[in-house]
Amino acid sequence: MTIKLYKIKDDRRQLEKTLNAETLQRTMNGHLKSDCSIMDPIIEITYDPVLAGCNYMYIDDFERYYHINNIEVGAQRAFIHAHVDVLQTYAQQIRQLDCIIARQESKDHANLYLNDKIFRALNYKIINTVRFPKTPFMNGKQNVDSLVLTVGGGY
Amino acid sequence: MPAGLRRFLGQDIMVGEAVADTNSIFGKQVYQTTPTYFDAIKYMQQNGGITHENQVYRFVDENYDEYPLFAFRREFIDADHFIVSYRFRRGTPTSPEWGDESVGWIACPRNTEYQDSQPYRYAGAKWDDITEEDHWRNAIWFFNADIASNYHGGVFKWEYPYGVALGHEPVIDTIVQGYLTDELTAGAYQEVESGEYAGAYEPVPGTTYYSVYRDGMFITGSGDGPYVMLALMNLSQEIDSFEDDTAEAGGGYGGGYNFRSAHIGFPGLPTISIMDTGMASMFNPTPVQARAFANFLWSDDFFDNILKLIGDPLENVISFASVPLDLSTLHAGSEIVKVGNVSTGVGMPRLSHQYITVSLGTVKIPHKWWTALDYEPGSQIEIFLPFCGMFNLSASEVRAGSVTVQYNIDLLSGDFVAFVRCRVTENKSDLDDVLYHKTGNLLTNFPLTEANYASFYKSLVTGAAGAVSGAVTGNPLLMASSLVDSAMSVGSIQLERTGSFSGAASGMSCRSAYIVLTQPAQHLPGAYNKYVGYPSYLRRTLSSLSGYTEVESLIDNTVAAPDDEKAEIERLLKEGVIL
Repeated sequence: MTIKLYKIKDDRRQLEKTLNAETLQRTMNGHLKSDCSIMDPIIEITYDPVLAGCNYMYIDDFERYYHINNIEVGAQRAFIHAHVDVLQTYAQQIRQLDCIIARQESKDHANLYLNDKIFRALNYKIINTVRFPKTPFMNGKQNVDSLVLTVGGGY
Repeated sequence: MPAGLRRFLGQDIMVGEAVADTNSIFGKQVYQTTPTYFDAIKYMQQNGGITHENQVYRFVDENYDEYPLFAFRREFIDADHFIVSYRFRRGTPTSPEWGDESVGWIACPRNTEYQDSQPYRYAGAKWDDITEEDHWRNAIWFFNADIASNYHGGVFKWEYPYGVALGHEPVIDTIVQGYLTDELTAGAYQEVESGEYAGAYEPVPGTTYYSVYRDGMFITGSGDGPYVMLALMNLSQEIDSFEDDTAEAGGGYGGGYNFRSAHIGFPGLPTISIMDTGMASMFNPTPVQARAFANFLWSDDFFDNILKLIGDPLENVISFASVPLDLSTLHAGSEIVKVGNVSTGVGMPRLSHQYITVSLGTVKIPHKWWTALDYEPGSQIEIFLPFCGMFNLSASEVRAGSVTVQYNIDLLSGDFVAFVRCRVTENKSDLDDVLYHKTGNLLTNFPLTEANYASFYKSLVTGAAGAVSGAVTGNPLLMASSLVDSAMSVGSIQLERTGSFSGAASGMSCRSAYIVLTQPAQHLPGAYNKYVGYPSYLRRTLSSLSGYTEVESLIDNTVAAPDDEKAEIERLLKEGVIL
């Protein structure tokens, strides 16, 4: 089987990795070491020093992308332990998924009025006072008082 | 200009049909303004005046007095249509603050059936650059160029921009009435100084007309010339629908709940006072006049004493007190005071009203964080009312809205009811109602006899029992642990800032109403959203998103993959991926 070996810097959570001529390190032939899961294959290949810097691969027979977990090296042979990268492998289909989104980077797809327990605040509060504009019980900054005399009958 | 959507002066406008109602005037203007007044002032100071076209500002000074100043100019487009352009400015056309830019306009076709001062068509406009941060986005003004001349009161009508396309009823946010000093004349700016905020409005059943009220009274015209009424309307309100499956950022829609708030406004005053019955009279003596009255009561003049033997004057003195108000505007002439049948010979101003209303004005409570932190339990909002004390307001009732306070006072007993009216039209609220009623007494009685003094002393003791305590309650351990992990809690501390004020204590208490905002100091690392994201809970197709995304649940996992891989896809999406 043909194996393309990459050296990528993308976050594992990235849906689609940067796979181009710059990140491609080698295209080699290999085969399965023994019976194994298609999600967690062990590939035997001829040892090449470039393997030491590779962390990602594509197996054309499986049409899947893999994160390289470990490389065992022996005399002229190397054994690549990998785990399938389902995000890259199924990227186009994943983009068509209809979902309820829990959190999103963009405010365009967020509702900041939802309670968010991740918000942190300092242990002091910001306290402001706002005075109402009219003070009928005062004249400027002075208290104002009036006498009221109420009498029976009157005048 | 025929009805329909038109392009005019670079703006899309909707010219409406003529309205035959003599009480109706309409011009409408979409405008935008900054979220807070201080932002507006700051912007003006930094930029040497208003430079953004079509932005309208309202100004507030260091005393929190708010006073928009209107000026209008009318220019005829043709024989049947004119444009009214208006501007907001602080000061007058001759003051340094006055600017040259027009900040808004409306097209008012003149209906030739009516006289010159009554335009009846209306126009609308929208701004293309309304920003997400704009609290007043999609708000429109209604310009009423004629109400006063016919004394029919403030009835006006509007229609939605773009007809039914908007699909919902706009909500009035604020109504301001201004008075034109002169009828609009072409080519000249008319200066208008804003009167009271009109405040309340009520729909006229069966129509799209609205009657406008101020302080519980139907607005009628006054003065010469037309006066202007402007209404701010927030068009961001949407009518809920259960069938709507297109939740949008800022909140989901799902309802079918079209209930409109009753808009309980300030009540009026009692219609009968003790003065109407003739049983008593109320006077507002000066201290000198009061001393003269006291001299009569305790004089040793022979003839005075003969009269007093027939009827003790003190028996007819119902009360003698001090109120924390200026009553000079309530004088109904000077009269010689009689107590019973005995003339005192002392002249005093007689009061015309037993019941009065005083307004403390309106305070707006803007957003601080524009997030859930602006509401409980993150934020706490309290209000202090003179002679009542401090109490809590719900942030949902006032945030991004306004609070108006009014007192109805009985000058005879000193009893009052303080009303707190809350207005919020954001986030589907349709609130413009009196939500709080607080009672108290602001009279300081001056005892005239030993019997009086006994009850006076008792009221002092009662007042002292409710004095300021400043107690702090709540579990401090609970408070500490909850605040470490979350910004959402401020309510674990309850402060008793005041007791109640009554009687003699009332005169010594704070006489300004104010609001206390206690808000969290949010602490967010840079690029927080790129690593943690913002709360969403919206339905989306992942192809419409980019950046950090956590999935709450998949509507349907349609990926053509073995079950183990599908399960891993779902797990990774829920843990968070970068699209």
